Amino acid sequence: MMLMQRLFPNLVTNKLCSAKILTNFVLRCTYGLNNVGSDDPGVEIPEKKIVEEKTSLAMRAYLQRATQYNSFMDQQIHEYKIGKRHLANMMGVDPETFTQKDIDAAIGYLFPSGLYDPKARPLMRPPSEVFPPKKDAEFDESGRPFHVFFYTGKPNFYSILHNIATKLVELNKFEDSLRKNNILPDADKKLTSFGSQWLSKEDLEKKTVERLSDHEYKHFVVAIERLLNHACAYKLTEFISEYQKPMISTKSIVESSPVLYTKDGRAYVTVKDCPRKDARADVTVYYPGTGKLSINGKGIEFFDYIQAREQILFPLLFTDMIDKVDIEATVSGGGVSGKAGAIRFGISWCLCSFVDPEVVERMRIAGLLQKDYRRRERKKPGQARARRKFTWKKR
Amino acid sequence: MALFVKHLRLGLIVKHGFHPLPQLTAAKYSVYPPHYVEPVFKKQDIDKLQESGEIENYKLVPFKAARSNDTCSVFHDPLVSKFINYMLKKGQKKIARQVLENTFEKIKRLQLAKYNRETDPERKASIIIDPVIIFKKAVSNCKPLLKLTAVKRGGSYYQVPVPITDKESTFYAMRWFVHCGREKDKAVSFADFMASELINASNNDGRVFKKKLDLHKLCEANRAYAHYRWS
Amino acid sequence: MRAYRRVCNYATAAIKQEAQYQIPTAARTDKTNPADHDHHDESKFYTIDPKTITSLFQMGGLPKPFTEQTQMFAETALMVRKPALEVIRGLKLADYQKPVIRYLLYGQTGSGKSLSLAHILHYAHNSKFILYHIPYVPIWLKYDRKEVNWSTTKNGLADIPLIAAQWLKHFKHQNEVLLNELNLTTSQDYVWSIRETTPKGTILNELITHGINRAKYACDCMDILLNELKAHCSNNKCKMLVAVDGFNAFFNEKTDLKTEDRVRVTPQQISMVQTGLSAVLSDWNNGAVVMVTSPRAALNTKRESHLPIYLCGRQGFEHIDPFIPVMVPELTTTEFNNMLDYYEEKRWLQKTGGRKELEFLTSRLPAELMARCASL
Repeated sequence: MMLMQRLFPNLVTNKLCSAKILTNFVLRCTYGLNNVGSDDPGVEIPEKKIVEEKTSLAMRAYLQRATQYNSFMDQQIHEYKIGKRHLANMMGVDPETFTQKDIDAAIGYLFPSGLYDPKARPLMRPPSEVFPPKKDAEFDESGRPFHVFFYTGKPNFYSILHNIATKLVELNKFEDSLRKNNILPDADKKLTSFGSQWLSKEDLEKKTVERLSDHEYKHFVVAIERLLNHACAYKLTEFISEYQKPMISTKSIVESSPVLYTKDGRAYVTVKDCPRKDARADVTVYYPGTGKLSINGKGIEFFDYIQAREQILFPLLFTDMIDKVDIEATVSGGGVSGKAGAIRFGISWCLCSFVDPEVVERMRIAGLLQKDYRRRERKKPGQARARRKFTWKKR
Repeated sequence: MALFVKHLRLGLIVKHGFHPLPQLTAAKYSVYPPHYVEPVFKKQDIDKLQESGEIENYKLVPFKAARSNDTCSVFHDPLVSKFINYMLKKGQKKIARQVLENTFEKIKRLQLAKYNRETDPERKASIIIDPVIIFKKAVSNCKPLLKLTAVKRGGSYYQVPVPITDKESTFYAMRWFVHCGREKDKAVSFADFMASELINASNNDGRVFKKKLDLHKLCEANRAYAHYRWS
Repeated sequence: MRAYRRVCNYATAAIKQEAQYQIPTAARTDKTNPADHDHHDESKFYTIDPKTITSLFQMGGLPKPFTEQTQMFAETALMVRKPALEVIRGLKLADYQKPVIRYLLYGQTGSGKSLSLAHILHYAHNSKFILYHIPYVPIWLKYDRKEVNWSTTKNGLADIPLIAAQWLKHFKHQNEVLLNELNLTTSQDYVWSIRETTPKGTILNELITHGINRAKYACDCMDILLNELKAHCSNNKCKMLVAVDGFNAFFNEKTDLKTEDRVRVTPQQISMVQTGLSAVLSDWNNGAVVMVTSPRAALNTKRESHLPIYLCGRQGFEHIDPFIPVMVPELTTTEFNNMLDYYEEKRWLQKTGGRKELEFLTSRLPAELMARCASL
């Protein structure tokens, strides 16, 4: 109700607003609201002249929805803040320094859940993360839209495309001006997209607060790639980087285990719980070694299968450490290939501590340091197996 | 477990020259996100990348995990691995691999016997004993240059000769070997049969080579329809 | 051993533009008589001429993959290794007036025990020992043969006539010449039936022939032969070497053999097995006993360990105790490299380099190396 205080001129200046949560709007139709504009409910305000504007039903409904959303969000934010303080008090922590991580820990402690899917478990997050964002007011009281591209239905998305196109024209002009003076665009500065990928369709949808189709997303990618591949694209690195994200997220870097020392002074590294399918292995590699191998107490004859033996050999051969390290591994679960893959993963990660960083990079390129998340594909209903369909009968 | 739908890589030059916008192919499900790259596990290949400087580009690119049948070993050959996969039935890789190793052993025995019997030094030097080399030679001899596709024109389907990529033609060659194996005599083991087939094919002889020639003949016979490729 | 440079994947024909690969030659020794072998010849190959091979091993004694290999390479080349040399040295230095010494060769599957035994047999043959050689015990016990009869002479024991006849052929083949030279005869009459008798003083060769022709009496013949030979050895008339491969199979819990009344027999119930067990006893002199225990001979019943006490069991161990254990280990690095050089020389191993890999993958066991190199 307080929000209705916002002035009309404020709104007019808010043309071409980007996707913000609806924070301010004016309920133009003040029909039946006598105490508008006053904190004190007791004070009587002289009735203003009610002018019934010709606002369409659709617009009224839209604006009503907007109000509801706003008030709802405000309430949620309020509840969240209070809830956070309550939670902090419950946990005996200072509410001022109670971060989101602490909240998650507290909820995990107070509401232990045995549910399988992490998304189904109880959570407490700021409402902006929980509830999907909605767009700000897209048109004024007269129904005139603010955004130029409103009538495309996806103004934010098409404005991105439009920007790309404009910038492409600018770059072409720039390049022409260079070439007129017989200067070629600097080849060293040419942009490459190595190491970064375009925002995915989901990311773009979040950014524009609009639902996009696959076809439209493809248009976007084609356009922005065109821009990137321009010889002078270095001038627009900032603009382009808005729509890029790194390929390797910092979260995915697994920290290598610490190097410990035995009583004799031999260095060793242990990597626990190396996964591959359903097998789990704990692998210890001792550095100044002679090539001894022990898997669950046995040597290489633990594996009959030649492929399993080759897999264990792989990281040692790759780093030329066959006869330079001793390996002790315990493995359980899974089958032959799973066990071999788990041990291979363990050996690779252990060896990281004993070789140069360049060799570690080579191991990463060889695929030795990546966890293999492939699992058996489930059988689907209506099919005989995971992929095999039932025999098609014409009648 | 998140499954990523892999689309056609954008910017790919589509073969027949039409379609400025790449089409969405049938979705391929993958555990890895689409930007993950196939690993390079042979030491020589990584050395090449290092020499050419391309390795810098891959510093920020994530790589998939290496497969269970790939190693950087001297004895590992990707074409041979592929062939083992083609011979695979019901996922019994152990048996498929054992059969192929028996095949290679048989090839060696046959060729070594020939080598030991041969007296003329020139001919002796030209006998290849290495089974992997014979296998590769056999496959490359049996690779077809064209294939026939069915194109619908005016209500009926015509068999139109169409060029194929190197990858596809290697696939056909290897598949013919495996399919020929199904027509073998029951008394003969697959290893024996395949060994003699591979040696024959490496000498431009044998059933699989004949199959390739037959396909070429058919393509030659249907060359009148070649223009149906383009409308 | 010639030094070599690493070049990847060569074919017999292709001469590369880069450094030409020199095919190595295996280190060999010229001494064809095992009696001359000493520690200088360790890890080297020596060739056995084909005549000896046929006379000694025509009916068993060399492992099948090895015989296929010898056909391929057109020669039988055996590697001189420490375990065999130890036993041969023991045979040379033993005091033959004392009771027989028992040697036991043991080791992991594929470590080269049977071939070491072949080496020892070759030495014994050259040194004029009579060879009482059981090529591989599980052959007696493994298959469900049709003819297994209860023995008429020995109570509670079963006969396998055809197998015994086959073994007598094998014995004859190995020892015919020597027996003719020695002219040994039976010490008493043996009555087989109302009409058949082997009188005292018949040459042993004739006894053996009788056993081969009359398979019904072959098992008894075996037993008699053993006793006769033991007696002759004790009387200093001849020397004998008892060689048993797969000795621990005597102490397996069961066999696949069934009598006519479909009763399953254990190894201890077979007369030939009892003969074999009495052969390794120390109640005679002027000879030696060499036994080989192999995990494979246990026929998938005992998988935990390759040690003799586990494979033979308490009873078996006590039967042969005391003995001299000789372990047959994996190949040493020199032996391993020499073996690979031999394969390359014979153009069997087509891919160079990767020796470290093979060491790792096969854990230097010769049989595994043979299996691995088959397809390379």
